[in-house]
Amino acid sequence: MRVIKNILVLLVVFMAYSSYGQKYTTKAYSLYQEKNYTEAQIWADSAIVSNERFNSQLWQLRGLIYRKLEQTDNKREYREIAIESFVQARTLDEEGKHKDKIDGYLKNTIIRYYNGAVTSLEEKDLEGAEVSYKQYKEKQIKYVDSTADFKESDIQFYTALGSEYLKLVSTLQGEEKTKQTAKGVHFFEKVLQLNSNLFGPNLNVGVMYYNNGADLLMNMDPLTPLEEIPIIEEKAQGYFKKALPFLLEAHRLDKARTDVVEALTGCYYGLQDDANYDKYQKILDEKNLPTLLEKHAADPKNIEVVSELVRIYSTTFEDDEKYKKYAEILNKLEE
Amino acid sequence: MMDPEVTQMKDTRSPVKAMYLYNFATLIDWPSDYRKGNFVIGVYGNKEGVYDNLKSKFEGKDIGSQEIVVKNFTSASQISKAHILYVTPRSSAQVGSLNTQFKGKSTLIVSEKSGYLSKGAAINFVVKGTSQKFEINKGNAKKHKLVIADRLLKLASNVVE
Repeated sequence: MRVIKNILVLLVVFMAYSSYGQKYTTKAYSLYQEKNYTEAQIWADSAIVSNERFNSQLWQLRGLIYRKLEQTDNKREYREIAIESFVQARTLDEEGKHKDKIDGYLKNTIIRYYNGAVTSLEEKDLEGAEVSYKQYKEKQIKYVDSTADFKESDIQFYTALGSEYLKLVSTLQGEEKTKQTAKGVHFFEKVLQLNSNLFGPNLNVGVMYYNNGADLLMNMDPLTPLEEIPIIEEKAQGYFKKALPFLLEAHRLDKARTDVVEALTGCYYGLQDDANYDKYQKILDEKNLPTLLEKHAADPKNIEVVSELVRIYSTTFEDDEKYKKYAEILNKLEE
Repeated sequence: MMDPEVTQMKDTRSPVKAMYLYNFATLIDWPSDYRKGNFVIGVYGNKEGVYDNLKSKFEGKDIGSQEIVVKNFTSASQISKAHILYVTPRSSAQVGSLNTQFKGKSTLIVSEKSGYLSKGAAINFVVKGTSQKFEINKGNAKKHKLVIADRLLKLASNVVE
């Protein structure tokens, strides 16, 4: 994701305040220049309850001071005050003399919500990231551009967020995994609503659903009562069914991707749909067989490779002679 | 964007069959001379998913006072005694001869091929719709002095007397 962290160089060109008799503002500006933001804040806050409060530049200055304080004191509420100050500055700037400058201040302050969302993503605070990104959009619409189009930004952000959930669920088990998977799927589906022709989100949703179903079966409690086995099987198949449309779409978008075919094969296998399972398994086996044979030649004792060759020659490319050959090798390796 | 964690295809059918096999062990009565020593679950044919699942999830667990041992057999001569013998689909052709070999013995033969209840298997794995099911031949079980619990019969997709 592109990180927009370039804060524009702020050129604050204040006029000679003293000529207006604006003592609080002048003092606040002087302290701001000295980088004494805490003192500058006190003077600026005094100014806004004095007669100086009708000056747009005071509010601009106050916004800048609070923006600095947000960085030094790490207080998120200061950002809100900065934004409110810039908005007030714009209201008072009736002739629009400072419009571009104030708009720049606002944009560069509001972009901090976006940057915050990116930082939260990097720090794996996924809920925080979502909140920050929503705030960024809300404020952008409210203060900068009421017609702003977030389509591309949403695609980038929610894809990144979904990917982080995908990473997270790979470390979880059980109910927590299901819960977090649902969140990841939610974000990828959001992306697909914006553009259904994206390969990655289709694949990711499909794989998340497939893994949920497969985990249910692979991690069944050994003491599961007899009557519950079909219930778990049905639940797992529910996930495989949910995965299929996304995986088929991903396959349509990129037929060369083996991982999609693997996931499709897994879904159909889990759904006991042998016709489709055979179809996709054949695609995989055609692709993998030369590599497997090379691997076997390089390392004849690799049991996994030999097992695969046994399976391929006993199913996909039925060849009794080759099956017997590799089955015999496998038996010897397993002895 | 990260690539997803795919997933070499997982063998999701075998855990279900292994789970059923374990439940067969708990819901069938073996005669008293089979209630001593280890409880042997054999997989006849190449080692594959069902064997791996049985081995990793059930070996060492108890059936009554007996400890489960999971064994793989690739020829009939290797089998001296087994409580359950699951015959892999590829080895199904051996069900008839295995049934003859275990005549009079209390070995539950479980097959996985359509029509194999009539070839001597007491239980046969079948797929109904999209579900893994099993069918039971009570007569074949009786020949091996095995008593099948009603709970198991109720869940069978088909019971042959």
